[in-house]
Amino acid sequence: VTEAVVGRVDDFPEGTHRVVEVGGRQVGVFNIAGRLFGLPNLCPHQTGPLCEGRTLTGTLTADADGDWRPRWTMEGEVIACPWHGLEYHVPTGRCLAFPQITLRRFDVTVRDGDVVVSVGSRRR
Amino acid sequence: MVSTGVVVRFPELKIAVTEAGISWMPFVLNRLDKEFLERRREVPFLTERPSHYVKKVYVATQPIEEPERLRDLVTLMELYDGENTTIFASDWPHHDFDHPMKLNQVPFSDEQRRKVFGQNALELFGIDAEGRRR
Repeated sequence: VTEAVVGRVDDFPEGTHRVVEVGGRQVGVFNIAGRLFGLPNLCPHQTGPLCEGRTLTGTLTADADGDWRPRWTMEGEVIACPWHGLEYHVPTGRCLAFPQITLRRFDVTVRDGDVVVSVGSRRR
Repeated sequence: MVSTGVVVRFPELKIAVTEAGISWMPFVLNRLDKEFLERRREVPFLTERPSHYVKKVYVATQPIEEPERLRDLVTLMELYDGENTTIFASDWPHHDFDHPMKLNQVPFSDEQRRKVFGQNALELFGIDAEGRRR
């Protein structure tokens, strides 16, 4: 297992994200309401730098429960790829347009104030 | 109807398009799917990609396109999975109607031909093989 310390926990304030490199892979590390998430910086659509989208947003949802009125949901939990705008729900890695597409999620843990990202094996 | 959510809110609603031929179908569903990638927020009620809904729309063949290779019509129909939704139509008695002979020259499989020339219409209008309403 390849893992690396990518900074101190204070380097990842709540509501922010940035891209780090671990074992030859670019990983977007997100702090959402105090929980850390790691996603590949690679959009499965056309290989765009997914995690370089500037801000986390929410999205619009409309369904029968809400009488089909669009409402704002998932605030602060959605990243949109800067190339084509595909939206992903960061905590689950789920692509909003295509629920059958789910991004790989990397473990991000805090040890003694260090943020540690684990990417499984080293990229060949 | 896809972009306003009708197809999601009324999933049992049968929709048929007439007098438009069929060649626009593969174009429209591919274009909608492409746009959906980038603009899902504008149609947040869709739970499937737009082509899923467009493929359920019945299309009547008239005015049928007449490509040099008639086989292309079969390919076009297959591109929108239209075997169960494509229906022969003549537009009779307009002067520019389609003669059934024209569509019959298209090299459909036997099953495709049976569906396009009748079975799909029975399905759309809810009529059984004896001509009774289901």
